[in-house]
Amino acid sequence: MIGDDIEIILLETKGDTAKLGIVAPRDVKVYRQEIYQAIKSENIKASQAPTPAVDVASSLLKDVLKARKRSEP
Amino acid sequence: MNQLLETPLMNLETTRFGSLDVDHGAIIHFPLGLLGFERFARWIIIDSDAVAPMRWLQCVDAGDVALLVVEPQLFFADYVPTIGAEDRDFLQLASEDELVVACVVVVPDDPALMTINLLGPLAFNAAKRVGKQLVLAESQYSARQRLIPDPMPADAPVPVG
Repeated sequence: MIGDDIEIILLETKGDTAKLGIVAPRDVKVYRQEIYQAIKSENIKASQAPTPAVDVASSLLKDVLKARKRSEP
Repeated sequence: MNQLLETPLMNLETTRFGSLDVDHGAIIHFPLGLLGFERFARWIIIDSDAVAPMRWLQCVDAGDVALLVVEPQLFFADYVPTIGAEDRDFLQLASEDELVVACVVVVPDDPALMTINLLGPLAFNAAKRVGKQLVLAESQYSARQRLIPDPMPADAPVPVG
């Protein structure tokens, strides 16, 4: 148990892997660590944008928006 | 009267923009920080034509940390992040008009490969200046969605199926 209302249960073992289940109230969010890790990694990469590439990125996005405007009726 | 008690501007030394005078009223408070930047709660948005339509999200607690963000609906008109009741409370949203959503943009060395993080959008209350990085775990959104489509070479084979 974690706290009063979160339960970890062993669902299955196969060789050296185990399948765990989490029983929690509906309002408790259970996320996989990979999702947090992915977002964290994007934040960190975003903070390291090379300046020359940022200038080009801005022009590329401006072009995309301009092209879209032109194609609108 | 407050002006006697506190200076309205604070000076911030930044890596990207040099010395900035930051208006306290412009600060957006992310009490939980951003993922990977959990200790940094205070951020400001810096508009600059040089990066438009992107904007800089400059950390006030660390002058060397700035991230590019963009309004996701400019490029993904159907994008609607689901914000649960708990997050709405956190953001003190009284009306939908107060909500601003911005997504983090990663610009690699080859800018054509830049990506937007639709899985972990930043949501903030423009009126109350409080924000949070959401985690749309139940959505199909990608943390690395390409922003610029690959050019289609004229002689490219037509994909089948």
